Amino acid sequence: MEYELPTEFDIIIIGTGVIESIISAAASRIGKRVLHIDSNNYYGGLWASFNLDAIHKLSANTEVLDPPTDLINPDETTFALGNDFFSLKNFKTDWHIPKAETQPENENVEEKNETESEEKPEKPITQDSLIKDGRKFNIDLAPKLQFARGEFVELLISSNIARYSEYRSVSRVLTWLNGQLETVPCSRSDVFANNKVTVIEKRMLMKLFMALDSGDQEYLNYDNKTFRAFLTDKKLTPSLIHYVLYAISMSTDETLCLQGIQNTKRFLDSLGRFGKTPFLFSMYGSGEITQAFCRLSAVFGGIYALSQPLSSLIFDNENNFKGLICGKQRISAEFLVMGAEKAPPEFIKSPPRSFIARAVFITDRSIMSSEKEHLTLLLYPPEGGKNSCVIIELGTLTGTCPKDLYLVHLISQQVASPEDDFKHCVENLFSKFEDDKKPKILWSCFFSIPDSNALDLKTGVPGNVVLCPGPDLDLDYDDAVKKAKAIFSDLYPDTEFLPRAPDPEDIIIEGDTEDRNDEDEVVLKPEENTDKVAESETEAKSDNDQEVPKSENEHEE
Amino acid sequence: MANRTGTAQRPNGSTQGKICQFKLVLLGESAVGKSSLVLRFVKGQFHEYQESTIGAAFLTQTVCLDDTTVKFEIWDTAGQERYHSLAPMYYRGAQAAIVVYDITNQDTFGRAKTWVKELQRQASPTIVIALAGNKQDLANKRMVEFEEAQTYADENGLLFMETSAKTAMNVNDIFLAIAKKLPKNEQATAQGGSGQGRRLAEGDTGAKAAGNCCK
Repeated sequence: MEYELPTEFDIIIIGTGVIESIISAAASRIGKRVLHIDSNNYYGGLWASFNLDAIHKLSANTEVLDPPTDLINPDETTFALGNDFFSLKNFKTDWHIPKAETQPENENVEEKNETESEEKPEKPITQDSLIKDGRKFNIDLAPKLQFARGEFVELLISSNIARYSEYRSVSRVLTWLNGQLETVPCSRSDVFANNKVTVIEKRMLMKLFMALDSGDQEYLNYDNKTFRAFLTDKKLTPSLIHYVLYAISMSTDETLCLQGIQNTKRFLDSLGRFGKTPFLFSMYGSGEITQAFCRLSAVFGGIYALSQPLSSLIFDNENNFKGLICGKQRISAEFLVMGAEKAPPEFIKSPPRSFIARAVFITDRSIMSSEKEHLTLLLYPPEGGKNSCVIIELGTLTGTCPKDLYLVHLISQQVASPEDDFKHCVENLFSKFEDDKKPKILWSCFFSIPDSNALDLKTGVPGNVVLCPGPDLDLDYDDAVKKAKAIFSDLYPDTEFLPRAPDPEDIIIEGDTEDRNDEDEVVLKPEENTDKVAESETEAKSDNDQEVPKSENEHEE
Repeated sequence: MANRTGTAQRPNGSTQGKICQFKLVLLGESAVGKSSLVLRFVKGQFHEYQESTIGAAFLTQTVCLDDTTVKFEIWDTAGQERYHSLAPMYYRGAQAAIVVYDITNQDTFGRAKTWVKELQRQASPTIVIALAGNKQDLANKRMVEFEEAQTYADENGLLFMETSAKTAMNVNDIFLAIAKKLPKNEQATAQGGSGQGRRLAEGDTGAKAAGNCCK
């Protein structure tokens, strides 16, 4: 290594997954000296996004490095980092198109005709043409959508991290009903615009939404009954039950009534804040989100080092974490937080029992063609012994794939294998023959992510070490935020979790003694009266005037 | 405050014609003066022992060009470049970049060339890149010749100036030159955010309209 890292920290965080990154940002934010380190050469761990080239090079192998022994005292023990329990399984990619353009024999004749008839011949998509555009892909391992009023979005806004990233609204929610794709009526206007829903059904649905909104407590009588039973008793028609049960509440036939009601309310509450549906997608892929938290951590002094030769952890004879070995350096800290996939195998008491089945396809058209490009969420109900599937279709406007192509993510709880679990979806949604108007799969990728969320990650783990679970089956990050918050308050009780970072206009640099009132920047918001905004800004500033965000530089090299 | 020439006074932005907002990122080796350049440009200050990070997400500053107000949202690396761990998110949607090197240190110029390549590979193809040879006040210790850098910049279509955050030489000028080169069309005037997405903010809490209708 050409450079050396500082060697004393308050907290070392290994792995740049979502939970680790949120904790890193929160710790830096309260002035802790944070070292955030990863053996990978990319951000995000099991939550990362990759371009087409990088995803092909993803290897599931965990390299174990032998530490130099001269850095370890005789009364200390070491554990080698890294385990194989939580790495990706069943990873497989396939091309379904020719490598290069095939040259038909009568090509010359055709080309002449084409040039005469003004219309340019459509260039066939080949492996080479996709690889050439490979950097325009951002393929998520764990794609997520966020509820507009969910805990994650609220945290982004309250902590001011929202400034770092951009979002797009999901523009339609679909479901698979009676052998075809249908648009789920989400909002009032959707309900009325939907020509598949009868007038009577429209009234029923509005009545249900209103009852839930007004705090109707009738569902309390359904203590041990299913949400399906509740909806059936409400005399909803089979299609309405389908929309509410499988799509709006993302439930199954077994989901209990209270849970189904909560899910439905959550969906309705998030409507209309940022778009027509309750959901938001992070531009350039979900992998951007960990980077946004890492940036905040860095802005408040966190030290970042990727591609590090991490070999082992050092513990004293009372089993307290003392430090880690990175290359030829010994780095110490009071606490260690790490992704479960980075932990020594000795810390993992039980291997994962459940897996997230994943598939990613590059396709040549949308699953439901339309004039404008949609960002689609398809909630595919349970069918023939298969679990329900979440399908997210992304177009070029999301910054995750090139123009005129789509990236389709499939997510489900694994039963057999990813290929087997999505077989029915693939058969129903994608092209089997040439010219059947359905999207053609150009490239496919299947893999399984071990689900570490239901596992005990505490027993047998030393007191000053915390393991963070990897991706979960949830559609959003709300549960990840809750987990990060809980870990943070265990480590640093009675401290504020990610207080609002100052706006650029509020930054006072050391020695800056200007009278800021005449410097006030007017925040430009289209729909508001600028004068008013300026006034309220001035008021707000006099309150948090003295906040001086100073970087932590005690650990400067 | 001193040294704020070129800054737009905007008591009420709406009367001043077009306002364009751009994301500008700074790149370059540690200690070449990236933060100092921003600080000079935004606050008109210079600190000899400037700490390596500022504690800001980004700083903003406006520049006036005829009837157009250009608002720069200036992103600093926050030290993530030190161990070669700058997140790709940093370049996303950036419309301009200043790649900084230290004229007294040949290595930083080599590194600057690597950053330019990286930007050409990773960032938007329309990004405006400026090369800044900083610490011009130390020209007597110069290790990178002006002509060498100028030739390199010309070959790669970069704006180029030697700057000094300490004396303020060419600091406003380089930002102004970038502002002039940026396309100021309708798209650039879009509020908040530089890509095609949206920034989430409290202001967006709008009516909880649809769905919870029928009051």
